Amino acid sequence: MNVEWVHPGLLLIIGAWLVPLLKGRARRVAMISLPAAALVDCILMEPGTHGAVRFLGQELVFGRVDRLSLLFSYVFSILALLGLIYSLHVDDDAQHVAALTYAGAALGVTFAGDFLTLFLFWELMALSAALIVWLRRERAAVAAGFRYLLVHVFGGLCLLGGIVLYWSHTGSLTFGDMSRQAGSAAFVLILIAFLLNAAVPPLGAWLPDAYPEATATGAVFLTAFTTKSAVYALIRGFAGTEILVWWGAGMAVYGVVYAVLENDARRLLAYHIISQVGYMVCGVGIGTSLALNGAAAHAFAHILYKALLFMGAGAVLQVTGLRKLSDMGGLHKTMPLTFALYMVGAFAISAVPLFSGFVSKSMVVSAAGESHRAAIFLLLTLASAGTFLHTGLKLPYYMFFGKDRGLPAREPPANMLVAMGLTAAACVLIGVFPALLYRYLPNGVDYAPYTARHVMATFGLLGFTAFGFFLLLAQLDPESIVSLDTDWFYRRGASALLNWSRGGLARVEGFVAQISDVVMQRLVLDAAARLRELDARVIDAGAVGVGRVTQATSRGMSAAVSGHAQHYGLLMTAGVLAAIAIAIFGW
Amino acid sequence: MRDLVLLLPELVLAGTALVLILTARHLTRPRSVAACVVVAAMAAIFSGWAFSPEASRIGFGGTIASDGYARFFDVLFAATLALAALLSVRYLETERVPPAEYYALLLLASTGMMLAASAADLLILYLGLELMILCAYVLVGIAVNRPISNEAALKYFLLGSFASALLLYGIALVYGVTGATDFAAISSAIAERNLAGHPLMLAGVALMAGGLAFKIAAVPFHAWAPDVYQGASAPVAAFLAAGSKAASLAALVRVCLSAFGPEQRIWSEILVGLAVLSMVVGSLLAIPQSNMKRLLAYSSIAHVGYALLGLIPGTPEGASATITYAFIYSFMTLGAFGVVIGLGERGEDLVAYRGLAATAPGTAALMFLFLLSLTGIPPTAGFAAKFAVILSAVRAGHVSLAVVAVLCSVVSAFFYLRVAVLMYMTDPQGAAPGRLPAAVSAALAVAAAVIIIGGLFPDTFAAWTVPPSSRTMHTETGKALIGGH
Amino acid sequence: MVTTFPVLTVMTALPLAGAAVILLLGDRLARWIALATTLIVCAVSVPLYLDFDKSSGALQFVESVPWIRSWNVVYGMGVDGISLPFVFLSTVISVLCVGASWTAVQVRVREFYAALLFAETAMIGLFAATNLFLFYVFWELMLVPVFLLIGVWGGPDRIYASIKFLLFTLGGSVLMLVGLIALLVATGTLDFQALAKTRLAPDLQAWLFVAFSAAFAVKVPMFPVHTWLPDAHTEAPTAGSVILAGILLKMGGYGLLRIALPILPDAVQLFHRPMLLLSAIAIVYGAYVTLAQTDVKRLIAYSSISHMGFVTLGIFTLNRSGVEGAILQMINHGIVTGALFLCVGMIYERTHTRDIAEYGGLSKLAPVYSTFLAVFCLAAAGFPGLNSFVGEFLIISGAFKTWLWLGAATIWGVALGTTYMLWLYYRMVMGDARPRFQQLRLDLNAREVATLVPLAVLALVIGLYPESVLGFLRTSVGQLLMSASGSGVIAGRP
Repeated sequence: MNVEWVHPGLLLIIGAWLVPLLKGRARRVAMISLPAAALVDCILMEPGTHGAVRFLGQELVFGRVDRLSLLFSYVFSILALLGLIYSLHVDDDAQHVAALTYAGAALGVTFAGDFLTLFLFWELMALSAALIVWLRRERAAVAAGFRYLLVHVFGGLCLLGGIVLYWSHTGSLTFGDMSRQAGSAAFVLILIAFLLNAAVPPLGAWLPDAYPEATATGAVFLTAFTTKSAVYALIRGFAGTEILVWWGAGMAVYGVVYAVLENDARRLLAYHIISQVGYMVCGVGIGTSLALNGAAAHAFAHILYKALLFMGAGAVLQVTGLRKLSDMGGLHKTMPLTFALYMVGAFAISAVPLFSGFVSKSMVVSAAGESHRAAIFLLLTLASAGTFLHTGLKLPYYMFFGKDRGLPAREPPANMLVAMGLTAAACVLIGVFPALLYRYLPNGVDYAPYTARHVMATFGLLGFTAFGFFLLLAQLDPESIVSLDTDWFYRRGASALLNWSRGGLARVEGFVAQISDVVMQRLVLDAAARLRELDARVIDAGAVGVGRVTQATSRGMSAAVSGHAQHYGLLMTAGVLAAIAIAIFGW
Repeated sequence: MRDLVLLLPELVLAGTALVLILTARHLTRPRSVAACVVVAAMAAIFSGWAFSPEASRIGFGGTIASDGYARFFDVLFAATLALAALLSVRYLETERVPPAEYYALLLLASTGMMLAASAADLLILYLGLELMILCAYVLVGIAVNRPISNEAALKYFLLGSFASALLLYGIALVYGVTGATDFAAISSAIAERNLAGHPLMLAGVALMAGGLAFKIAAVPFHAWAPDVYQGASAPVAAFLAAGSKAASLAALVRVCLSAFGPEQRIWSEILVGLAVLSMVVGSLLAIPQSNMKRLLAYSSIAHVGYALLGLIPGTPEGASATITYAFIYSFMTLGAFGVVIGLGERGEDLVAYRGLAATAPGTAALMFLFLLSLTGIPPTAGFAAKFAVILSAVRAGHVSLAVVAVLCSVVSAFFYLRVAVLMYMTDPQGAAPGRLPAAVSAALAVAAAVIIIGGLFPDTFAAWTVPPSSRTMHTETGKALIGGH
Repeated sequence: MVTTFPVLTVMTALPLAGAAVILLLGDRLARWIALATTLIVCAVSVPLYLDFDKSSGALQFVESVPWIRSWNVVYGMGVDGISLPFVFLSTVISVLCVGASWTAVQVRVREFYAALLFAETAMIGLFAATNLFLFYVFWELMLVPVFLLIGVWGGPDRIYASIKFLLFTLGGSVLMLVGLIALLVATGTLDFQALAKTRLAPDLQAWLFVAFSAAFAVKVPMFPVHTWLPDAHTEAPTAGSVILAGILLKMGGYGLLRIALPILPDAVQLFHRPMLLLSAIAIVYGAYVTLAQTDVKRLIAYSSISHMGFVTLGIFTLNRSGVEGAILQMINHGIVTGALFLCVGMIYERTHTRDIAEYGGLSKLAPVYSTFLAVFCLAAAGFPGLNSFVGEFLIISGAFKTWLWLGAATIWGVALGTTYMLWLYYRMVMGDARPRFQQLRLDLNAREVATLVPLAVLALVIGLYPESVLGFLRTSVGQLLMSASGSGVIAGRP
């Protein structure tokens, strides 16, 4: 590829190997400067096509730089920077290498102009993500990481299959709008692969399964890249695909519903990723310029505040080692800063005005409104209410207030706080000055989030939700707070929605969560064991059997060799008679 | 008188034998005797090539043919004799066998072989073979104080005389039908008087085939070979395996092509049976053997099967393939036996080969070479020879025979390379064997050289292996004889 | 293009000379002489790649000397685009084998390196032979050194493995001998090009195809005659496994390309669907059985069965991308699996166990080793950017062009392949370090790194710039498909 264009992804992927080589301060400097350099690289980048190489008689484009890819590249490299600051205190080189590779791969996907490049970085992303999960080095984490890997291997192969089919049909590998292929096998396969990475139910079970198992720092990276790069790919290839509208809306609600059932702090947040990505998928489906802008913007904002939320939960995990909400409580005294910063994220995700979520999410919602999709509009609004309920109220309440257990806790290491601070600042900044974000959106924007009506409506929604929450809370008896369990809602007879979800959906969810295990166990390992037996018992035995039979025959024959001359004579006589017979009757 | 020139090689050998017998009392050192035997063999070869006429000729009233075929076998038998002589030295020293008699018998046997190969008449053929085999009986039993060799000699004698009887009976029947023992006369008689389908004729052919099959140890006339090879001393076994087998093959080829050309369909059918049986039974029975000489005996049986493949189509190139095979095989088997002899008494037991590569790398390498050649792995002469015979079998349309042959060679690979496994892949047992005697190593060197050269340049020997010149048989002598009736 | 300097013959003869010198000079210098010889061979081979005319599909560097007149056989050497990569692979692999055995081989050192060089002669000769007779001679010649390598320097069960290997392969190749002779009788020549021009009767072709593919199928090995491979691979010393995986298996595929396709086109038409089926079975079945293995070497051995299934599949798709992919994949498999065996050998030298369950946490104890292993595991798993991906990609697209379900089978095979490779890596390298390894010095030394680096570089170069290999193939493959498509096979577009 040409010299004047440096691929930021490769910069990170290759640079990552500096980290293990360096020590102490130098290493920290490298960890910061690498993503910083990538960010600068992205900012200085000229739109256009760079890094084209011939491969298999095809033109591979490593750098397709346009507004869309630039937007995602900014946020990816920003998050890489923040995440590394957040994990500066960790001195496990492998984690940093994995994280940098992961970020680099995401950037690679962003700039990929053709399917092969896309596939390359796609696989790299899956691999490094699995590595990040593994690097918590606990049995549960290792197992989850392996499931994660298997699911993504499957997704990657759908993608590969789609690519090969697409190639043999069109003879081209260019990655662009797929609508012309709509309905073809290639179209479906590639869409499935993208949706799987976007954690679209029922293909999304891997996300809440794996992310909570990662290290406190690793989870921050995980939240950002895989799903959002999938969103990017969807915007690129599948804008205006009708099915995505409903799927996305359903997803938004689905995530919220499952968040309700969740007690593990980070798993709850993980479900909210699904919900938030739902907005983006829905936006992609709607496909109007506003909706696409919304999807992109929301991805941008979401990466930041979701990272912030995970950083907060991670900080708590870091200092208390606790994961279950029902074990926490009263941390606002011991970790006020963390609390404050977390709340910024919570407000952002709940789309409180003046926070980033507000200016991005509302674009999608109003896009739904503008395109006269009342039902979608309603679903999305409902979902955002639910979001506020859990991440904005429930989680912080039980984590930082609720029953004070006097947990021995202190503020997390400085670098964590710095990272959180920076992220929070970004969230607020975008919230206050949406233009900062809007000017980078792919399509021209004439959207004003801060109309009086919109703000009022939002505050109304949020206020009502909060009111409902505390009303409900007032009636709670303490011990049931202790074990915030699903049957709590059941006893409280909370709405039919929950029954429905605990019933049918829960079963689906349970099945989906196990799917990778099922595949691995039934389809693969059992079959493998059986076939190994077959190979040893039947096929090998068959081949070796020929030899054994030969040996047995020869032993039998040699037993017949008596050593008596008269027997030999008889044999000869028989031979002569046979010869005469042949001669006479053969004639 | 000028006919004597045709028998010059035979005369040289026979003369040497007589001298040895006369001066036996004074000749006690095997080395010197062996030396003069080797010299005699050289002289025989030289005389064979120097004084015999260029064109093929029939002499002694159409009973002795002197053609390229005969000369080729003169060379082969002389070489076999020389190598056997070299291999025998140590055995004679250890067993205290009177060298003069022993070597005289070797010489006479070789004379018989040459006679059989150059015979143009059934009686001369019989004479030569009998001379050979009579000496062989004695050679097998020459260690008078070893019961096993006595038993072997007796078996050999009994069965051998049975076989000779068959051969003689066959000759008699043929004579009765055609009124001739001369090859040319027989073939022309069959052709002209249309005797091909005559039942007695057919029976005669079958009987002669049986008699010769015994001498080449083809299944089911093979049973004597393992016992005799095991009972006889290693050098004698080597001599039998190489020389007598080659001689009988030579006789068989000449009889089939020259005398019974018109009967080709019949004897090739019989030969197919013999070949298949020999290959299969020989290969299979060799697997469980634990005695090296027995193993080589069964391998010799299998190899006769391969050699016959070339003869079956009855074509000249097929015949030359067969005699090439006989030539190469003689050196392979002499080499293998040579290693057995070089290892002394214990060399006869497979156990002696454990870890040989560690204790005696050179010997092991040579043995490995001979084994590879016997298996037919390129680029050894064994492969080239096998290739030639299978080629002629396929030319004649016997593809199934070819398949059987190659499958048998896979089986044979198993037992040949089991020896290689013992030599290279197991740890040595007992004391390391001493260095090879100079005579033995000389013999091995010659054999190895032939195998390598014959493998790398298969054409080398093809020039000499000319088929028996059937055309020269129909000379005026033959006509005259028939006319005389 | 005929060069006056008989480079191919020299390349073939040099190792033999080296072996002779080693046998004369003895153990002390053996390693160095072997290394020098193999390196010299590499050096001699350089002009081959520089002067090779990629635009012509004809044989180049041709040497032809009358040899056996009675069978109309000449001593003919020459390379075209198909054989050249294999010659290259043979020379490289030989060097690395010497490097890998540097300390591993302590007994009968001189015989070992002699056998190694002998094997190199056979490999180069086989790929450079221009007629079937010479091809067969080298084919059989190859048996002897490998038989010894497995049986003398192998593991505990080495004798069984070596005899099994020998009988399997011999059983296959004798049928080839009959086929060869039948071919000679039918056409009167054994020259590849002359044979490719003559058109045999279809039924004769069918029989010949059966005979030849028996030999090739055992060597490749194709399902169901593959069972010699796990034993041979497992018991062989590292160098032996590398030669087996790197070169020996390729002989089968090369034979299919060199003999079956051009000389027996009608038979290929007749049989290519069953062969495709067998290949697909080999891919999936092999992958499954691999997944169930607990012995590292056995696992890699079975993975070879699956990978070679891709090769035969690609060959019998009979379209351009399939065949090019197959050849490329053979090279890739030689590099990657060879490297994997090297890795296993290196760790085995230190831990003396091949049981995967006993490993774990190598990433802490042997970072460098883990890194190399990662690279090669990913390459074997067909990770994009590394060499195997390109080959598999081409083969899969070729498969999709032939039958859709075939493509599905290959995809499933790739899925399993990725799974077992990553699982192997995860079981060996991830997790916490085994206490019993703590005091061992597990990480690689300079020599071992130097042995692995070339392969890693090759994997990357081919992965990122496959033209480096495909460029040589293109014209020859085109010709091959033309002659194979005599009866209506259309060479698919790339």
